[in-house]
Amino acid sequence: MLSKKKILILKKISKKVRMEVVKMLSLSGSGHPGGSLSSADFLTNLYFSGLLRFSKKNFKSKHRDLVILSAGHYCPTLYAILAIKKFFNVKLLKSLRKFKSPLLGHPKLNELPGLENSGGSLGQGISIACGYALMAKNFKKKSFEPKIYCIMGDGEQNEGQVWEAALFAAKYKLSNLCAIIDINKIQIDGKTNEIMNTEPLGKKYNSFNWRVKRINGHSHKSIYSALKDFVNYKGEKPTVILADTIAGKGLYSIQGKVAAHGAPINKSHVKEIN
Amino acid sequence: MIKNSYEYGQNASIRESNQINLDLDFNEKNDLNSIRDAYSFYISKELLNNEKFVLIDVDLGTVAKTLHLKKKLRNRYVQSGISEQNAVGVSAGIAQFGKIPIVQSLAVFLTGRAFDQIRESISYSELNVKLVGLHSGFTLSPDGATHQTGEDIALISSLPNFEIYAPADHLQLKKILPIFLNSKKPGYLKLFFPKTKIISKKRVINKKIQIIKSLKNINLLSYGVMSQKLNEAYIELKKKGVEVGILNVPFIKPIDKKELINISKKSKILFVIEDHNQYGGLGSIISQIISENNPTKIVSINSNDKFGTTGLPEENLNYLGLSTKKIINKVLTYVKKK
Repeated sequence: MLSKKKILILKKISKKVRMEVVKMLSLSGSGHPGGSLSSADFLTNLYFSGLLRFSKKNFKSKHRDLVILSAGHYCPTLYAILAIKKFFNVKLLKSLRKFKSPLLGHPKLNELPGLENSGGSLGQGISIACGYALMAKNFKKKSFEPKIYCIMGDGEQNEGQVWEAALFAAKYKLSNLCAIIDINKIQIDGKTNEIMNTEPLGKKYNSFNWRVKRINGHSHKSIYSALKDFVNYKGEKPTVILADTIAGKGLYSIQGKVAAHGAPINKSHVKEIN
Repeated sequence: MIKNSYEYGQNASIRESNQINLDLDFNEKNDLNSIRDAYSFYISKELLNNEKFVLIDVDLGTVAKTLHLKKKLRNRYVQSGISEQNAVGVSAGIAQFGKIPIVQSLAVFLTGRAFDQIRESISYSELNVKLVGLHSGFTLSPDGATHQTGEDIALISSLPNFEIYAPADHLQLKKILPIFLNSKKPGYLKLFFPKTKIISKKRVINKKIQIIKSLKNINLLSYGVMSQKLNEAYIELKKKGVEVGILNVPFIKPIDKKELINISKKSKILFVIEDHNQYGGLGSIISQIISENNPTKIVSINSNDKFGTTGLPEENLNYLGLSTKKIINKVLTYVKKK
């Protein structure tokens, strides 16, 4: 259980992350506020609640947990988190999407410390996560058993590769793998249930032999308890956390709207975060 | 274990203790061999020798004749099922873990179906993954054009960081396989279907073009299975009083630019013959390099923007204008023009 104090701290960091994201997007003039903000709470929780064994010190060592950002367009949130975790100077955030910036519009592996994959073409991260998780399992060391997380969007569930990987993870009993799907219910062209309905998503993953948890993706208490449950899990199935979220959460003028996906952000939006 | 595999190889067939009959049609000492069976033989040795390698099958281990490795490799063997996209993604994760993954499938499915994954998860991410394209070109003819590949060089050569290897016979494969596997860069190994003879006993040197028959005014250049045709064409043309030089390119990317320019300076006409489509193949690559340096005439002989058909390999090659006879005729038309 998370203490009230810890919840307050996480909320504070979430807000800081949101603020940085909106500032970055207002400077870059383009990007994806919808998913970046809907994922801000659970990504903050993942990186700051103390469950993820990942820091500037152990990055690149085999003794670390891995977060694969399959939904590459969520990268402003990840960049903000890595900056707050001191992987690089916060000032660098201003360069998002600018010429030759290591903060590319979609992340590139090895371009910036703390990134674990290149992402942009949807559906690819989950297979990468599967490959790493399988090796971590096959060449298990008692001293450290890495946990692999993969962040996907709900629109991303349209991709066939996701389901190839879902079969693979269950076949190889990748119990060290946890997919977190941000169900913000929008994609570029409209609402996900109208563009290509993937619900009931829980039933689908269940029938693919995954363990499913559906949570409120903005409640630090629920997020933490689902993550903790995965970390302590001793069974054989891969885990998926379905996080119900609101697109553009925190930016009241766009939140919950289809347009939130790639809405242009300006300075006036920065004030909205407070 | 390895010694045993060799012994089995010498006996031309492998019957493993786990009852899998590989029927390897391969004997290193023979002139005529199947490059696929040679691949199975040599890759088994490499995989068993080096703990860093992980083999990934996509339900075509039977075609690659590597199923017997499942038990021996244990946790270094991955079966992804019929899912090239996932298999390539999985291989990227394996590379990130620090192992060297080898993904094998029919060339067309591997390079075509999983192109976007090869592009982003491997090439763009600069991960060391080895791709093996089986039965490339047009010689897997009975299966029809769905299973043939006239696009793999175009696709893979367009990706930064990638290397392309195209051995012409089992001796070349033996030399090239360790270079391909031990390179730090991602690589694509292009194999083909029919049995072939050793094209030359000349040494294979990393990244170098091989001069099989010394340079003349008219030179014929190729790689892989078509290099066999050039040896046949050489003899036939000689009978007709036309002496040509013969070149083989086992290293397609990066290509030996210096030697290419040297060859172009000495050639009046350079023929580039390949079982690949007209656009984006070695003909395109070579034309681009040479035209920037010399005005040498380059004639490309390829599938001429056509898909293959069904039938015997020779029938399909003839249909596409790639039989020895059609190659000779094309060369002769230019000799007459000259």
